[in-house]
Amino acid sequence: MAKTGAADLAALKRAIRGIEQGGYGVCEATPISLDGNAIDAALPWGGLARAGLHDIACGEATGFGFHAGLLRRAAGETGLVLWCRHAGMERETGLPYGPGLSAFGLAATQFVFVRARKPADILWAMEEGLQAGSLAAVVGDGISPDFTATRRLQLAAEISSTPSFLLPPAATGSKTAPLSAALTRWRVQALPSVRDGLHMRWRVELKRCRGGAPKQWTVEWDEQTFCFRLAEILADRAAAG
Amino acid sequence: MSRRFVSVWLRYWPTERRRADRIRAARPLSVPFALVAPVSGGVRISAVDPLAAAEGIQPGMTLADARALLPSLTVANADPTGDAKSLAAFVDWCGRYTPFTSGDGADGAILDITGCAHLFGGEEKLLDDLHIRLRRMGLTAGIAAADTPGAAWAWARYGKGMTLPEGKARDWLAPLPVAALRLPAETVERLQELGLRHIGDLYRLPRGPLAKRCGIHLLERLDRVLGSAPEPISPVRPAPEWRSRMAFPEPIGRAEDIAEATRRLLDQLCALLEKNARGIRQLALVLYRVDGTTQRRCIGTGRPSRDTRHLFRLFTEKLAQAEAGFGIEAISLEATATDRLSADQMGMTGQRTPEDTLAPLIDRLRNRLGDGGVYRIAPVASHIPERAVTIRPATDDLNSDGWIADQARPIRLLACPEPIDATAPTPDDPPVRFIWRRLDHRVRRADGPERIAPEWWRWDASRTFRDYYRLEDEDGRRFWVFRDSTRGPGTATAWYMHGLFA
Repeated sequence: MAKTGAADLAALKRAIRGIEQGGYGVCEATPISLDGNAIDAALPWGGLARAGLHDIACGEATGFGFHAGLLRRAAGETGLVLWCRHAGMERETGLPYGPGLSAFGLAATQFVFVRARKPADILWAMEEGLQAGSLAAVVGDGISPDFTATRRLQLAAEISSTPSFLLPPAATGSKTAPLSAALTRWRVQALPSVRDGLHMRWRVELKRCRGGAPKQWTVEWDEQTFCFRLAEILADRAAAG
Repeated sequence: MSRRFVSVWLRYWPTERRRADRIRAARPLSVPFALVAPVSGGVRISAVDPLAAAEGIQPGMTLADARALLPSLTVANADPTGDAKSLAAFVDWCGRYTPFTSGDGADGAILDITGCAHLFGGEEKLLDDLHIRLRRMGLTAGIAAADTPGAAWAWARYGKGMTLPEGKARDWLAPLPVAALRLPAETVERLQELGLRHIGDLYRLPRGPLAKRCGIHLLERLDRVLGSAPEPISPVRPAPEWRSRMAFPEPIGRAEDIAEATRRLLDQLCALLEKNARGIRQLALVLYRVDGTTQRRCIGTGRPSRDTRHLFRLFTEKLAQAEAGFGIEAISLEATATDRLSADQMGMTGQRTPEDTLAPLIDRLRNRLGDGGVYRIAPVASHIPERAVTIRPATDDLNSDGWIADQARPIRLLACPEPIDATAPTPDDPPVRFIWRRLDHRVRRADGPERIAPEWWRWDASRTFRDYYRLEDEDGRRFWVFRDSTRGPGTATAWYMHGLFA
């Protein structure tokens, strides 16, 4: 009797968590582990929800590495990534560069790029990619879709449990971000390196998170394990001082 | 079984094709109409409609003469390019009867209906159907079916009735004037000077002297018309390997109906291909509209496919843009390219690899965005940064060679290096500050230089010695810049931004 009670309670809890965190599907898929530690614990899904849209705002030359790291965490060594780029933003932000991405453990074979001039085409391509269900991640690069579009993407991501990442253009990412149905919104800034060799560090701000609280961390990329990790506090202080 | 050809002669094509324009412009069709073109010596009539022709107006008259003869004549400017273009559209429309259609001169079409007639209930019925449709379009047409294109041409213009029965060409053509052989004007004149007025007159003459007098061309034409020499016709489009078609008793126009018809045609076509172990690579959907034009929508696939659901999905995008106009009376689906695809390749294994589901996705993306819109990248063994990546078609299967990761490379590479205004303490040092895109960056750390030498086996604009540095500014942004070290000492150093990290 007590056993069934516990099971019922667990089911109820799961249902409530599902409602809070955006649809049942969001909780079902195994989450994307970011650092296997503090960041994962702070997110309501025990990691980044796989069935969701995530908005990563970063300026020029500040957050590309964090984004590449996220892709590696989501796609692993072999997962396929559909990268939909806005052709009009090419001059501004340059092209994703294979050798640089390979330093994050992402192989050339893992990418399929889409290049389109109209944002509507990019959104369509992203949705097609999400519906295919076999991709490890879908990227929308250089667009800042409106609420309806993000809602569509979010629903498509929920159905297929495919994570999608939005990289809005730098100008809109900074101040007046449009209303969005994304599960999480991040703001990433590069931090000066503390050690030799220009090791990358970012201040990562979780600005909005469905079912979770905003938070911020100082994050590094571990090139051996292809994993994020929190930067050491001491090193952080040294940088501040 | 002998071959059969249909010749269509649109006698008043330049004027009659403008019927719709005239209706739109609210000009009464009951008024004689002619087209004029400026030639040396004034404006002359270039084409007339049946009403004007009945009043004695003929092409070649000056406009002044024609007006004197018929004051009520309305005229418009001739448009030979437009005529040719709409004739090509008409020839496409004729594809509803047979895949082998070809334009024939400026005012006709030739259809190879060999083996097609039974689809319409026999040759008579086909000709009747064609006749009725052309009349409904307001076209005055001479139509004839015969064993050779030449005989059909002759019978459409000079014969009586629409059918020249099989094997009767020699007898039936004998009484026709020699002009029916489609000869140049001077040859016709020459024959008439010789008293040879009818085709039959030529049969009796010895071939040698005839060729000597009138040219070998005459004999060639005669042989082709009578079928003793082949007359090749070149269809407007290569005839598809596989095809399924559907005609409607009433024209359809609703998007749902078109979609349903497409789905059924796809089922038919795929069943046909399955029997022959072929898969579709390219598919064209042709909509034949009531107004005598066609709409062609094409899709392509990365690997041969017979998956009707997938193929139909590729069409949904295209069907949304299809315009039914006044209605669609027939639809055909043509597999313009196919590949071997044996049955055992289809879904025997329960496991679907990501690559399997990727192919349909790439097909969909390519059909909407074009081939250039979807691509993959592959490594190239080159030290020149912009050469280290090559763009490959998305359908390529890639091997898993990686890049040699011995040096740090940026995550984004600018399409072309941008000049920056950099300040360096000495020419050999990395910059301490620089201006890029009108923003001032103070350099906090620098790493380098990494010298990248040009590839000596190439000789082009990228032949520069570059010293690359990784720079970090005070905000933590990381850049990849290089100094162009090709120039000798004493000249100003040029710095460029080439990539972005972080």
